[in-house]
Formats: sequence, C-alpha cells, structure tokens
Amino acid sequence: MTDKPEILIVEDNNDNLETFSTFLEFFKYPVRTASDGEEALKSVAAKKPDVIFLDLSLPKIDGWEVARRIRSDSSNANIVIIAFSAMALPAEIERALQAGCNRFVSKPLPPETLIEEMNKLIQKRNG
Amino acid sequence: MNTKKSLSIQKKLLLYFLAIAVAPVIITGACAIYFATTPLLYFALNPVKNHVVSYANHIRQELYNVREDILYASRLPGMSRLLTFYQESSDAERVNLQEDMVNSFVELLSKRKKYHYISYIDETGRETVRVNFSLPDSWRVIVGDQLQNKSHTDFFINSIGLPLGEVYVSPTILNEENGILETPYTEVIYLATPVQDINGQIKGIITIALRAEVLFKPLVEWRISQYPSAESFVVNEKGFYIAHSNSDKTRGKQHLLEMKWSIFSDYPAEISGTLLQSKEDGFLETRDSVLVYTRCSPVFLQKQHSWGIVASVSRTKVYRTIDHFKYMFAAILIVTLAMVIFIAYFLSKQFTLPITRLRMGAKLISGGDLAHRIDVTAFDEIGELAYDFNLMTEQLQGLYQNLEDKVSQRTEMLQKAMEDLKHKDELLEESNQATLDFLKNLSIQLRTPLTSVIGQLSLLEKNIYGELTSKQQIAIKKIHKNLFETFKWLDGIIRISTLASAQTSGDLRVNKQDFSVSQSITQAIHSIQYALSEKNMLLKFESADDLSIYSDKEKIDEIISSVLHAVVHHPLTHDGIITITVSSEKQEAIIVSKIIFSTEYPESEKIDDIYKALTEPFIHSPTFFNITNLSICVSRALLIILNGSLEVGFGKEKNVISITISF
Repeated sequence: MTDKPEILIVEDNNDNLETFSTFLEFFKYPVRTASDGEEALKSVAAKKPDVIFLDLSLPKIDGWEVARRIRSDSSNANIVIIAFSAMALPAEIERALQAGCNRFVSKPLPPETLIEEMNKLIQKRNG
Repeated sequence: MNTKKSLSIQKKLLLYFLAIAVAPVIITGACAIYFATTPLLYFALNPVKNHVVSYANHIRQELYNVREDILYASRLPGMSRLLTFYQESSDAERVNLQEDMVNSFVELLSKRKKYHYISYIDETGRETVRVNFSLPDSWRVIVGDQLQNKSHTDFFINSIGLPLGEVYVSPTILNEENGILETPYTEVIYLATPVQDINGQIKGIITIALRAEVLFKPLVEWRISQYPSAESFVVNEKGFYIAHSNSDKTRGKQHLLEMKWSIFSDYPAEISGTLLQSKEDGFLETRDSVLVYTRCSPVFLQKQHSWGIVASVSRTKVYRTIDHFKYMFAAILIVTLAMVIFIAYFLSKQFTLPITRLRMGAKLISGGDLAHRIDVTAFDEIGELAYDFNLMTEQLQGLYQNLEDKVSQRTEMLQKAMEDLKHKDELLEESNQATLDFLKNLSIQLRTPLTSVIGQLSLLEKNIYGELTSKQQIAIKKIHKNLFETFKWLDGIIRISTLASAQTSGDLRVNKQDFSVSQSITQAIHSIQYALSEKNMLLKFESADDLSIYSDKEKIDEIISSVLHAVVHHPLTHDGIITITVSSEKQEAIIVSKIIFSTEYPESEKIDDIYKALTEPFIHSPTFFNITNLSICVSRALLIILNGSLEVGFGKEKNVISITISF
C-alpha cells in the first residue's frame, strides 16, 4: 500500500499512454489506464481513482462527456480531473472546465507537469 | 452663383406694355374728361344757343320785313300823289287819292297778314288813311269820324321829326284806340316813318301796328327738344320782360312796369347786369340754371331799343348731359384700358409662349427626358434657339445613350466582377476556414506526438530506462532543448497563422474576466525556469503592486508567457538579469532585461540585432531566427485584439532592453 494518489490515465495514443504510465509508475504512483471514454467510465465505476489524467479527444465517448458523467455522480466530487489536449483553444478549455475538469493542460507537456499540476490540486483540495 | 430673384419675362413684358399703353390712355382719357368740360358745356348748350339765335334772327328778320314794308308804303306813288295833291284836291279827288292808298294798304295787309293796321297820319297827327286787318283775312277801312288824332302818341311824336327813310319802332305796347285800350288786348309794336311830298316837305308819317305775337309767338311755340322745360324770354334794355315763355311773367299792361316783370326779380344783380350790358352772345351760370343769351335788335333799331333774348335751362340738366358725356368717356376709357390690358397680356403671353415652351422643354430634358423635343412653331430667334436646342438635345441623347450603354456594359462587367469577387471571397473564406481547420489540426497533430517525444526524453533524462552515460545525458539535454525550440517555433507559426485566419474570418472571441496579472506573471516565470537555468539568467519579479485587470486571461497569459520566452530565448541573452515590474496605476507590466554580451560580436551590431529581433516581424537571418521573434509577433497580435500595446525600447545603458506591455 502506498499513500500516493491512485491515477487513472485516459489517453487514446498508446505511446503517450505508455510514457505517462511508465513515468508515474517509476515514481510509485498507482496507475490505471484507459484508451477510450467508455473504458474510462467503466474503470471509474469499478473503482474510484484519486486523480484522472483525461485526454479530451477520445474515441467512443469524448473527454468532455466523460468528465460530465463522472461529475454527475456526486460521489465522484473528490476526484481530481486534469484534462489535457492538443486543442488548446479557449472555447475548448472553457468547455472542459464547465464539464467538471479541475484543470486544463495543453499538449505537449512533459510528464513532470502533470505531476506538478496534480500535486497542486490535491494540496488545494486537502486545504 | 449669385442670382437675384426676378420677375418672369412675361410679367416684365406685361409691365412694359402696360407702362407704354396704359399710362398714355389714362393720361389722355383723364385730360380729355377734365378739359372737355367747357367744350361739352358748349356742346350741351348748343341747342339752346341755336334756339336763341334762331329766335333772334326771326325777330330781326320780321322787323326788317316790317321796316321794308313801311318804307315801301312811304314811297308808293299813290302816297306821293296823296301828299302832294291832297290839300288842293276836291273832295271827290281826295276820295280817289285815299282809295288809291287804301288799295295799296289793303294789298299790303292782305299779303302780310301780320299787321294790326296801317295808317297814314298827316303832319298834324290826324289819321288820314287807315286800314285795319283782322285774322284770318278781313280788312276794314277806317273812314270819317273813326279816324283818330294820334298827335299825342309816342310813335307820332318820335317819328315825325325823323329824317326821311328812318323808322321809329315803339316798345311793345297794348293797342289803344281813341285813348282806350283795345279789347281784347292786342299787343303791338308801332313802326313809323316820315313821308314827304314831291317837294320834299314832310307831310306826316306812315304807321304800321305790328302784332307783337308775330314776333313773340315762337317764344312759346318753339321748344328746345333737349330741354323741354327751358324758359325763354325777351328782355328790353331796362330789364323788363317784353315777352316770356312763361305767360305769367309777360308784361300785361304797359303802365304796370313793376319789378316782378323784370329779370332783376329773378336773377342776381350781377347776372342781370351782365345780361343787359353784354353786346356779345354768351352764357352765364347761376346756381340753378344756365342762361344763354344774344342780342336780337336789328341795326336800325339799336339806337332806340336793345333787346336781348335769353334762354334759361336747368343747370342740373345741362350738367347731366355733360356728365353723361363724361361717363361715356370714362366708360370708353375703361373699356379701352381693359382692351389694352387684355391685349398687353395677350401679347406678352404670345411673345413669351415660345420661351415658356423652351423653358418647359429644357426642364423636362434636364429632368432626364432626353426624348422630349420642343415644338418649333416659327423660325424667329426663339424658334432658331429651340431648333438648336433640339439639335443639342438629340446629340446629348445620343451621347447619353452611348454612355448608358457603356455604363450598362460596365455595370454588367462590374456585377460579374462583384460576383466573381464574392465567389472568390467565399472561396477565400472557405480557404481561410480550411486553413484555420488545417492549422488547428496541424497543431493537434504536432502536439500529440511531441508529447510522446518529450515524455520519452523525460523518461530517459530521469534514468527511468537505466543509467545514461554523461554524453548521453548531454545529448538528451540538447535534443530536449532543440525539440522545445522547434516546437515553440512551429507553435508560434501556427499560432500567428491561426490568429491571422481567425481575424480574417471573424472567428475571434474575447472572454473577459477579472484576474491578477501578477499571478499570470508568476505562472509564466515558472514555465521558463528551465530556460533560465539553461542560460544562467537571473529573474527578479518585484510584485509590490498587485495588478488586477478585466481582460481575456488566456490571451494575457499567452502574451506574458510569449514575451518572457522572447526575452529568455533571445540568442544574445546570456548571464543577464531580467527584472519584471507591474504598475496598477498605468495598467502595464514592464519587463527589463539587462544583457551581458559575449565577445563574439561588435557592440554596435549587437545592439541593432537585439532591437531587430524584438521589433521586426521576421528576420531572414539564420543566426537570429528563434522564438523571440515569433513570440513578440504573437504577443503583438494578441494585444491588438485586446486593444493593448507592446513597446520595445532601450534603457539608459545600451545593453538594457525594456519591453512595456500596456493592457
């Protein structure tokens, strides 16, 4: 058992998914992965993660819809959702935040950035 | 053009015509009416004058005739014999001599029928031969005791002493027989002339008693048709009426010479005096009447009597006639004036009609009806002008038609060009949209694999895949650095292109909110920590004043980040110091970078290069192309959208660059 937050990485690009998961696992973060929105929702339903790194451009169910559905369940209120996307247009960012994402980070980003953003948000959540 | 308001030509012409025609007509008419009064008075009085003159002629003629008769009688052979031989003759012879004279007198009386009697009176005043006459045609010889002594009579006394051939004429008088007035009263005028025998001895007189009615009957009978109520009278030298058309005023008896039968009782003294004293014909005006007078005594009578004939007509009637003429004149004047005005109006209308047609035509043509032609009714000056105007209009119409055709052609071409342009615009819009979509897609497609590359490099750098040699570590850092720069370069180009396309297509949105610029700066500083340490640069953020603004946070974040990247990644900035200050008062952030130059470049060139890299959009030099240039361009583009500005300048020292961002 570890006190590090459990992270669900949702990314349709396998290379990125592998990179992020490798990086996080190297630093002992419990990591789960999902390659589309449907799989992500099932994973959350099965077990609530602490943090979700959510790519917005996903097959089947896109990232905005995934965030909205997760947030529609009040029991998921504590899950930190960090959205990341190559579409860094303001409208899309706003849409992501309205869907329930806590933070938006644009690609490209080094894995360290995700960890930094996650730590900030957790720190903020924990007060 | 300064034009005065003016009357129309027609009105001017009308005024000219009226001035020329009406004024003389009015002046002439008024003068005629004014000055015609006297001639009109003469004219009105003409019938009266004719009346009195005719009557005077009648009296004169009658008296002349009587005078001739009496002179004739005085010279009869029988008269001469009677006078010469009467005294020496026997009774029988005397009777014969008397009979001769009676016959002569009867013949004269029967012929004239106007004498009351004729008699021979001897030098003692005794009637010797006398024949009376009564109308209609009866005569009676007075003989014996019936013959009277007339020696006391005025006519005997006044005539017996006259030279031969002179005739005495008595005033009108009532005939007396034997000293008694004859009844019925017979008004007579006695004419008497002396007679002589063959020895030239005055032997008495011949007397003719002329019935006065012969002279004065016309006074009542003759009427002036124009003035039927006119009164006429004959007045003697003393002012008494001898005869009057009003019978009441005729002297009835010779011994009743009272003023009531005098003109002095009827007219003022001045008028009466004039009537009596005037030797000429004339007329006088009183308050109520006009008096026309003339003298009527024959020349032979003038030493004895001065008779005047006067006709009195009502002044009102006379002036009514004059006024009638004046009114007639005035009516004629008014009719003439009306005709003159009408003719003037008609002429002015006629004169200006072609001009009016020309003007109306010109108005229609100037209004655009170039097909209109002006009627040319006559080839006078206006007609020629209208003809020339029509020619000009025809030419103008041709030119205009040609112009219209050309305009139509050009319009068609323009419309086609506009349609082409619109089509091209649509294509351009589509192209812009496609470009924007492509750029968005390109950005996404680049970012996703780059994320993977950067991630993998991080894994390598963190020795996750195993320990790297020092050379490998250096290589990874170089890859990382160049990759980052390449990405920034590509990202900058894409960003600028995106902004340009979005600006062209109008797809730019600004989402304003209140936020802290200081916080944005802090975040931006965090993102360049790696570069700062790489270039060994020091950054100071003196955030004494927290600057909060209402703007688009995302764009401001991007601007601050881009400017900091521009400064940090400037190829010539190494080992320098960057100082950031914010001013809430001026709503600006100032980023000052002090650059420590290496020795590779001459100082002056470096300064230019630094400046160029920050101010010029693109520098075509492989040496200086980098993130700086692109980042500044992106920042400027975003600031224009947000109505802000970015100024680049040098500090007091030449190696100090100052970038001021005004929000």
